Amino acid sequence: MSFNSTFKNGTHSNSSTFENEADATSVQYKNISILTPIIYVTVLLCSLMYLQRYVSTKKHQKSMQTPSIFEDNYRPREVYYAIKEKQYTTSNGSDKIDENALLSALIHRGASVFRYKIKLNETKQTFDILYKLGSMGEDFYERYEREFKLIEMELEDCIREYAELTKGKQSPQRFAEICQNVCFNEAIKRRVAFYDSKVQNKLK
Amino acid sequence: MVSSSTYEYDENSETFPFFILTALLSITIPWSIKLIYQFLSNNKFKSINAIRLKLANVDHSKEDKETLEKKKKSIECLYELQDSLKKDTFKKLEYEYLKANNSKNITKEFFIVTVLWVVVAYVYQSISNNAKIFETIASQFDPYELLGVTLSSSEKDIKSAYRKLSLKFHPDKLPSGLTDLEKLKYEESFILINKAYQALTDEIVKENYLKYGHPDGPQQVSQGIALPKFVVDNGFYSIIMVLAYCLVFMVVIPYFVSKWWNNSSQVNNQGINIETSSYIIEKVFNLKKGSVIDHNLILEWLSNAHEYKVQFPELTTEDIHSIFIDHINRENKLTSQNSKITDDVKFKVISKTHSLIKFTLTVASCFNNLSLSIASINCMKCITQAINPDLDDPRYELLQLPGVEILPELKEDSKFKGIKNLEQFFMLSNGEKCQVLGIENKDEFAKKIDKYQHTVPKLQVLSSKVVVQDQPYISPGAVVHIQLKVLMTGINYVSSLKQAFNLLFEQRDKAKKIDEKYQTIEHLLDPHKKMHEQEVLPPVFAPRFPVTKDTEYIILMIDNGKVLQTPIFFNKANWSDNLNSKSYDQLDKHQFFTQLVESQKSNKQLTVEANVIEDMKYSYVTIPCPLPAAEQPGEYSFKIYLDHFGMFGYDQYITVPYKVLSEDEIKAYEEEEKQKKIKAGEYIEIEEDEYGLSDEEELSEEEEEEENESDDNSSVYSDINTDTDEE
Repeated sequence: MSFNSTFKNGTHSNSSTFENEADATSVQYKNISILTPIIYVTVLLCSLMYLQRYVSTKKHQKSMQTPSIFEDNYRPREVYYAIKEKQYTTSNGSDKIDENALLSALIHRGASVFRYKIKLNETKQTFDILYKLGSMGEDFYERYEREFKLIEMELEDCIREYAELTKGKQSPQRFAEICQNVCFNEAIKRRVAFYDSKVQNKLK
Repeated sequence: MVSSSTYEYDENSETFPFFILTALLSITIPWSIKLIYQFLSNNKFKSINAIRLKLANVDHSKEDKETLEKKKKSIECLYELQDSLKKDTFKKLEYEYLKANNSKNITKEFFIVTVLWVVVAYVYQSISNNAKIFETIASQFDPYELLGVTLSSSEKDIKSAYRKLSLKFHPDKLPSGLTDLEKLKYEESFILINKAYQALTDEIVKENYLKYGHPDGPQQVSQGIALPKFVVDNGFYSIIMVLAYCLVFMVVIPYFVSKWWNNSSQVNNQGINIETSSYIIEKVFNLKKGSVIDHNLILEWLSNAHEYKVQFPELTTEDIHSIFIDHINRENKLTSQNSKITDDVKFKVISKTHSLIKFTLTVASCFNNLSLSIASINCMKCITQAINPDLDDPRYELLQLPGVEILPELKEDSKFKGIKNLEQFFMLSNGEKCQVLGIENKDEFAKKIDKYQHTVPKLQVLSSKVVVQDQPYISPGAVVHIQLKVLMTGINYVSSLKQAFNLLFEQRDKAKKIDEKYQTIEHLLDPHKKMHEQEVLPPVFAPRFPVTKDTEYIILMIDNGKVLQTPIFFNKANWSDNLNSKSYDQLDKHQFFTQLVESQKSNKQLTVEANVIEDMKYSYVTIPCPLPAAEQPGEYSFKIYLDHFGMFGYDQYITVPYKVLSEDEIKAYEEEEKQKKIKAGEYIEIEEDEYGLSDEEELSEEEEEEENESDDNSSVYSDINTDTDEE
């Protein structure tokens, strides 16, 4: 004991600092619940998920608001659905939908899809050049790229509607064929009209 | 241990003022030098005339005096004529614009630099007033100073100086009646003197002094923070420091970075607002075949440009459109009708059109749309010359002439009814010219026209051919370019003279072997180099366009009614010699006109005397082809549309035929060449001749083409990017 006490006394200052340090280290060991990291990770994941969802909805909203680069903005589609949902009053007052009118609206819609598709494919190179030249903003190029996806969805929707209308009697290939023919015929008609007007102008 | 880990603060401002001073000077000195340089160099461009000559690329250093004088004379003459016709408000605004852009206003910068210098002076003052700094310096051990000798003193001098001082301070020889404190001071000095002497004489001590700066060896080194304590320690100032730090790194820097980023993403590579570019591209994309495409359509698009919405938020699209229409109709109703539309607004709106139309043209050509491309070019012409082709059809070209405000109504049977373009106009005598335009002051008009003729060049294509770099024939699929030989004449030269001129130039070339100039390595490597070496064309004569517009010629490669690549712009061709040519004024136009009529009657070629071209120079225009030569042997052609981007009456289609040789033909050609070379053992001159354009064959273009072609398979469609070089 006496030895101990002298030792203690003799090195009082030293030992006290040592003890203090030991105290300090022992304080650092704390009982942490297993839940802590789990809660931490969940909070982190949840906030990330929320952020991701927020960003994607924002993006979605934005893409819903941006109009199509086609000036008529898929008008034949609107016409078709307007007929289907009886937004027009029929001439004889009956609320039965005229099947033929609906079918021709659908074919018109399908033909316009083909027209858009051809136009998009034709201008692909042009848009790439303009993009590479730096003439086009990022947004507009994205709008253009989006149009390809939209047109595919539109075509799928047309085929689905066609199958519904004909109750599966006609094959989708036939629908595509009809639409393509209509599209080309319309193009020829426009061209003829154009040259006609040119000739008329010259005659004047 | 403990002492070295605590840092001392710079409580006495011994160190940090030096940091501040260094930082301040490293900004202030370069800035001042830049300002002084700017101030001196700016003096050169003080006058409007000097600024304009600089903008017109009249370079004092590069050219010889004679050409420089010619150019200067022509351009000054052009400005004089243009200024005499320009609207006063536009003239004033243009002067202001030119001054603001070309002679920088340096008063603001000057003020900031002065403030900086004042701060520097203050910091310097505070350093020199800080006694602590001098104390620290004084406490440094300097043996030379202690002994009162200099660095160059010899050992003998040092010794004698030491003796003197040690006698004075030796403890045994102190003067009586000193206090203890004084005694101590004397003793200290004595020790120091001893040390200093040792430092200069004793080997070890000297080494210590040289190594550590003290005769006793290494001294204690103190580390510190060069800031006063109150800034770092807890307290009011430290909070301010943290706040300032946050402000800089979290607000100021992000703000400027985001501002820079926003600005850069707002504008596309052609300097057009992103919204405008999207709008125009969308419009072109949705353009229906068969719709009317003319300058009115382009103007309608332009009035929707986002640039105008940003710059003039109070103006509607219709307002902008009415400004355009008012401008091209040469009316001035708007300013009185609409108080929002001032001359200043008009000035800005119309000057902006150039880049917008250029962009529309690029988009139209990317969409291969020829009629839209031409419509945009015409739209630029309408705006530059303030002409509405719809109003004065078909004589609108004449409105470009100086001093012509409106065209008079001509009687049905008037013999001048048929005068529709500038070429026909310049065939007339002075009196007739005035009659056509309904001008009364004939003398003044004659003067104006004379000036006009000497300042406005007209481009005439002498010949064209398809060339393969470094190969005299065209092999299948070779990468080719088109070479036009053009002549810049005065505007009154008739285009029927072209062939005669071409012949004369070819004869002269053959005599002088001018082509050799273009046979150097650089020219062989880059066929377009010779075009870039030519003179820059003078600005467009457009007194109604608000600002001075640089001349630009446009080349569109067309095929089957479609544009093949983005337009090529060029503005380089030799002109100063031709417009100031002596023979030019001597040329008897009336006699020439009768000659022309006769030659047309007899279907003969026009002849011109050789001395006419004595001091004239032709130029080259080279156009990279978007497509390689055809794969199959046979005869083909390229089609070019050439036009001026700002003046009516220059548009022309050029067909450049070429012949692709089959393998057999190539072999035969090479065999022939060989034979010629063998012969050339005796006739060296003949060999050189066939290098260039050979004898009589040049007369017909088809034959010409066979001669020049070649082969390198590098860029094909990528040429689209090279267009920017020409721009």
